[in-house]
Amino acid sequence: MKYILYLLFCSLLSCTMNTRDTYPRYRDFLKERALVADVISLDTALFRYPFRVAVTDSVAVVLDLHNADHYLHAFTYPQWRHIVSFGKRGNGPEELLSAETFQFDSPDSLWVLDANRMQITRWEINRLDKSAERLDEVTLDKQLIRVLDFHKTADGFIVPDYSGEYRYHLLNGKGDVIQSAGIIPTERKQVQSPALAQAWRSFIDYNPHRNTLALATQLGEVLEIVTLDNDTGRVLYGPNGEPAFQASEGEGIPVGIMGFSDIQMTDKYIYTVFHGRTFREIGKNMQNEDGGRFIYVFDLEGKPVVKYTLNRAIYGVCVNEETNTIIATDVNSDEPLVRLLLPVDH
Amino acid sequence: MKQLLKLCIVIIGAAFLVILSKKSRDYEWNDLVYNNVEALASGEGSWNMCAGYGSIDCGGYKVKYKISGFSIGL
Repeated sequence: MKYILYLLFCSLLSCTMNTRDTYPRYRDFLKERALVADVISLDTALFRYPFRVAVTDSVAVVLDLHNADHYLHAFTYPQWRHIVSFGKRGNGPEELLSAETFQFDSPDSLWVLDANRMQITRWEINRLDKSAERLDEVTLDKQLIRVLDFHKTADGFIVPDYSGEYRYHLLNGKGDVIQSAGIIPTERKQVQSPALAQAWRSFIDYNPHRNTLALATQLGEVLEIVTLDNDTGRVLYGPNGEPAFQASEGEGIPVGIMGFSDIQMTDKYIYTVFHGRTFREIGKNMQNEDGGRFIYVFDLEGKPVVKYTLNRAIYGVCVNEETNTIIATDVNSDEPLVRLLLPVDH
Repeated sequence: MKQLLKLCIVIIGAAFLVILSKKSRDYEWNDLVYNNVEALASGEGSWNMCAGYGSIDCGGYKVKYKISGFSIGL
């Protein structure tokens, strides 16, 4: 009798305990603060879905994910006067099928990732002529299947994995894979697969001074910091845990929460934009705001430092620690670019 | 002892029902979702569908919501 009761108890216990905590968790931040966004006035209304923003000394560029004509828009900085719109959407030889993100290479030159073309192209902006020219083209290794983020390195590029077999790949300057490493840090008993990789799709940033890669999951709430010199790193699970999904037709269908939408790693901190809305809420009302009202700041070991709560939802950020300023994009507003001033004792 | 065993079975059965009920709620649909969904041409027989403008990757498109017809038992 006791044996039967014990078996029944163990069965119940195993049904309620699906996972074991392998990786450390973060919960509380050292500080929690509110941030109010100031609108940046633009002389032109251009955006449908301003997904990414980056700023150099004199030029700012915004990537519009759902643009009518051009993916990229350049402005003078800090005046925010429109210079040129470039990266025309289309099937033409110098057009972009699906620009995902971009990265400045120099004050007037930037690399742009086209996921559907599997290309990274370099563009140069001419402020005087108000023009942009496509100069270089790197075709990505087909074994990568699909590339949704990238960062330029000294030797080429670093990109996240799409197959589920690895976590990231190092590419040479021609786009060929020279090293594949890491694994998806799931705590569930799951086969490494494209569906798992899709669910674990992460935004990345790379710090060349430290040769360190940071990844933040788009679904769920997981932060990873990888030191590339010896492929060691830290994985931290937030309160919402790992990406939740259902595999269907080889794809990962989100069923948990929308997690992070951007990440930037400086020499001091890792800044992330966090959403936290469930897909159930999103599905119930598609007209609800899109974006994250939180900026989570971690130190370079992954320790949570500051949680900023914003007065509006944002998507992409560009952090300047010298001026304690964050430029951010808001896809919900007719005034889509905002400036956030960080506290001095941040 | 027999009474205790019956009680344990009832409790465990109730717990199973709660767990199953929670899992089925993860895939709750409503009329708004149906109205907003546009089928993605991802192949005959495929039940995956994408909706809205967003940043979720879905067969080369960027959408707000991605759903699987499999999850509703079609």
